Amino acid sequence: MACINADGTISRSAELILLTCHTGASCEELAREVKLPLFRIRSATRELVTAGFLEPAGENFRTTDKGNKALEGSVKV
Amino acid sequence: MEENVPMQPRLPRLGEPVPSFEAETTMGTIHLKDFAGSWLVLFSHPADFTPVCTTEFIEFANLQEEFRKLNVELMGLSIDSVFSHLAWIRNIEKNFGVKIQFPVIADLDKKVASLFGMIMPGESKTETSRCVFVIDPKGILRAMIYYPLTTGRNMQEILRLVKALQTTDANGVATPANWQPGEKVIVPPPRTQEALEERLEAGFECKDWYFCKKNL
Repeated sequence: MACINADGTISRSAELILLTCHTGASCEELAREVKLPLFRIRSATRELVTAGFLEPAGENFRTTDKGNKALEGSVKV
Repeated sequence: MEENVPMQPRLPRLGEPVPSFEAETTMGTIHLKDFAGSWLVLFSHPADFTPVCTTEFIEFANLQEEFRKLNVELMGLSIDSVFSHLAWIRNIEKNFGVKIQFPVIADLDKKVASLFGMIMPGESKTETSRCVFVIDPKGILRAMIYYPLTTGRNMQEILRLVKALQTTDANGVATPANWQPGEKVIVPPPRTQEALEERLEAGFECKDWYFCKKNL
């Protein structure tokens, strides 16, 4: 798991993705903002959706309540 | 009369879609479709912590930016665990000062290696040979290279190969032996008499009707 650590916390790149998705973002927008290759964004968003931290919204992804809670304490939302 | 013939997986062929897969890598779980829209150089190496493979990883890493400029991603593979890959990558960074920034598949169950025919039992039943698969943005296999365990690959040649394929796609031409970007390309031979006559008047550099070159 690249986004979710063994102890259940999220990785730095996952934090950035969740932050960027606060108002909704596509994979292409995430790749630009987070400065990661598109294939890594696609892999990460899939993992974060499966774990319930993100939800698809059309072509975009949005941070869920669970994603927002995961961000609390690690970074300011 | 029916015979029990063991089913062999159908290996990828040039010009056809490559088999889909999902694999654990040093950058998380990656699906082939994650590379849609990019070229992908998928390559296997025999084993982590071996000297020839280490030189190959260093050279791929050194050229990664060149590949990126061509919209090409790199992905390695061997029949090792992700922990072994991570330890080896750290070791390369520590000993050679080179950071490996492409994913490496941990193919312990040989699933991807078997799909792509990367294991050559005549050489080794437990290691992948030095295979390279060049996959285009639509998931079509465009080139394959197989090297034995003993011989390191030439990464500049892989880069040249991708440039040649992209030049072919962009311009509808072929590339001659030892072609390098900027050099003349081959105009495909004509298939009709009309096309033959047209090309002789087109100002190409022709040795004969079937052998014409041009600048791009």
